[in-house]
Amino acid sequence: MKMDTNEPVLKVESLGIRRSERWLFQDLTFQLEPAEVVQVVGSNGAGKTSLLRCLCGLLPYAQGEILWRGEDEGFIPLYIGHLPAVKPELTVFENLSLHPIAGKFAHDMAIDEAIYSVNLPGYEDELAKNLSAGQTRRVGLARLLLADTCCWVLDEPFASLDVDGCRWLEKQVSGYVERGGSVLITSHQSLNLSQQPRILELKRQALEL
Amino acid sequence: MIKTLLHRELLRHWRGRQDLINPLIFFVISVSLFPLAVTPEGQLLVQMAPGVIWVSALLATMLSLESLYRDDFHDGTLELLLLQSGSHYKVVIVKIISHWISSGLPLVLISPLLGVMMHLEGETLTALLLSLILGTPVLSLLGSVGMGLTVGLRQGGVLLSLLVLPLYIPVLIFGASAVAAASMGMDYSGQLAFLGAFLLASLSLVPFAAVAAIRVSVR
Repeated sequence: MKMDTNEPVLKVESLGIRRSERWLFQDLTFQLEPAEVVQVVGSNGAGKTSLLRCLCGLLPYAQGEILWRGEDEGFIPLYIGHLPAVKPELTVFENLSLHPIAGKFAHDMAIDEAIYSVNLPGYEDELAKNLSAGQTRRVGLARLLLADTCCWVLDEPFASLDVDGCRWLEKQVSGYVERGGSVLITSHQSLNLSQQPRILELKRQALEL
Repeated sequence: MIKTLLHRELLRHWRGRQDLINPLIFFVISVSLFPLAVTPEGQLLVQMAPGVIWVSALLATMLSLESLYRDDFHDGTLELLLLQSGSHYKVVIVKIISHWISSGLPLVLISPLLGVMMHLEGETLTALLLSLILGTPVLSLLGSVGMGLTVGLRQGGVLLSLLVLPLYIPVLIFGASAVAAASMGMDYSGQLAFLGAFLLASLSLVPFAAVAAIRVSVR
């Protein structure tokens, strides 16, 4: 994990996102500091997923500024979205080792450890199409253990996970933050982390932080 | 990253090869129908063969375009690939190359057999092979732009045809013309040079258009 400075990992100023003719939100300003968790909450349609996709450069924004580590582009957080990005034709191991981002620096042993950590030992050579939705989600989340980045952007990561899976993820997020990482997460459930997350509440046309 | 992605794409295509065998079977069957429906007479088949084989190859490529981005779009891989700053073009190029290797190359390899069935011989078969080697990558490249634009649409197949088929026309003209010229004993290097120029031009320009098209769909 590369953490060279104490400057905010993410600085968002006066951000506004439009969908068709409607503003999802306007004048959104917040920062994500090193070793901090910010939980984005809000009702359905408030723009949580759009905010995360916008921050990662997948969605254009109508106004404002997004600065990742003081730069306006070039930094890539680890983004795990609604969809697990797991290929059904590949095995669990191949999905991690041949992943263009997470698999880039991962060694076989690290991948085996990640598979063990997400409670899928024995499934290394199983095609992903034979896994359940929760197991597929776990394969997607195993990338958290392989990628070398100082920020995770997680969109509803608890979806499809059982109780053990949720606890495992909370533990991973807590450990990551203790090591200096920053996490921006959307979730409808309250998180049980070692460090209390800062809440960013999105409301249509209004914002409370 | 390129090596990993190419390995991954080829492995995926190999494991899901049924999707790629279907266009190949379509190619073989559609060419085979012409001698049955029109005439088995050799001289007429030689005249028809360039157009028949090239149109069939073009339609078979259209059928296989679905495998280019559709699955990646629906399982979230496409947006992950777009996240990689500065390497979008490499990603698109790798995906197109793997698409051509798994769908275009089999068409090229089986084409001499179909050429023999259509009574083509000697230099004409060579022209057919060379024109398809140069032309089918262009079909994959141009198709990637149309597929990028329509990947998010539920019924994108018809729109894909409307977008892509007009772009295929120059390739079809020069490809079929090269084979026709060879069958008449004429020089066909000019047509091949045009196909080569199409390939280089599309190789350098299409990835930019394809990335822009995918970005529109992912939004």
